[in-house]
Amino acid sequence: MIIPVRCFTCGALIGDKWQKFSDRVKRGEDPSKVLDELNIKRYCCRRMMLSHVELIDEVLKYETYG
Amino acid sequence: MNKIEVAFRKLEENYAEFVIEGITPAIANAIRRTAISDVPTLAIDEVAIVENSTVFFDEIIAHRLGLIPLKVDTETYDVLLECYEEGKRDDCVAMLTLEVEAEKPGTAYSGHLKFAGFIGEFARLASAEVKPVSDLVPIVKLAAGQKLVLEAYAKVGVGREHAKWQPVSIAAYKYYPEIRIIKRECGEEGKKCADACPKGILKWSNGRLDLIPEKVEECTMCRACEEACPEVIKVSWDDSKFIFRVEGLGVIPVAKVIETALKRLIKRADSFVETLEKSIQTRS
Repeated sequence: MIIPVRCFTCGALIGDKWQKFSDRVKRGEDPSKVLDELNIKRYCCRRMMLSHVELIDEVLKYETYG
Repeated sequence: MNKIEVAFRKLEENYAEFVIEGITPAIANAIRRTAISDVPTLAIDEVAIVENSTVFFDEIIAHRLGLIPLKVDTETYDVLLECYEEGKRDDCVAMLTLEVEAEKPGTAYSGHLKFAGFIGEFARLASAEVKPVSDLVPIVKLAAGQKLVLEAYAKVGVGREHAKWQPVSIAAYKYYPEIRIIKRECGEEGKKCADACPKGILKWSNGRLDLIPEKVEECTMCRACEEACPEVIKVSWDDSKFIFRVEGLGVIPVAKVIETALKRLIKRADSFVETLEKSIQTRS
């Protein structure tokens, strides 16, 4: 739904790095290089980013507040 | 008793690498486990939701808030630690508030959390501000017109109770590698051996196999070199010497985590001796 705050396995903070990661990958950069530059070293934290699907944007479309 | 020696290879605010010599695996593991699960930190534990018209349930938001690491300075930390050890964790609660109303689609970030002071008896001792380690952790996304208003109460706790109170993400050790080259002048086979090492610890030149001394600590003891040429090299380890790696979450400096872990461990051992003596006395 939304990026988890911490890595499921080691507990490192990863939530704050999602936006940067997503933006740069969408621009066509190599995900592995972006992860290195964001200093996400372990494969437990790297899969948090690589396997994440930001579904919350789809859900927001159907909200009728305001 | 053996003399214990410690040498730091790296010491940064959030990362430490050091070698301890002269301890047993049991003690090394006790230090590791204490650092992860018995060093108290501050994390949001109770949330009062005033208004929530976002797509997330109240409890999802509360859970995400709990996982956000909160930074405290060392003086405040000492006060919180004392308060926890005296069993008065409800007397040193930090209150934070959050109020986000979206006029256009947006995100509620950890940076929107505002520190509103300490509550309880210990409050007068703690003057410093409590704030998230990072201001960019998304809590929830909001569509236009949605609103999130809440009060959050951060309490002191330990990782044993819930992982949100863990002060470190990595606290690990490995044995100190001992690599013995049996046959230095080994011709072509030495090249095979050096190439097998994934960490590039071995060097082969002019038919001579050598270790690169400054890289020895990188050895993972995978024994790929042994497999490649069993006659030439032997890999073993010293079980009284350990390479520790500790990576902090930024809540308190890692040096402080290690120090607190050791103090807590000693306290535990002391209280064990005390209990033991008491039970012996009551028996006789």
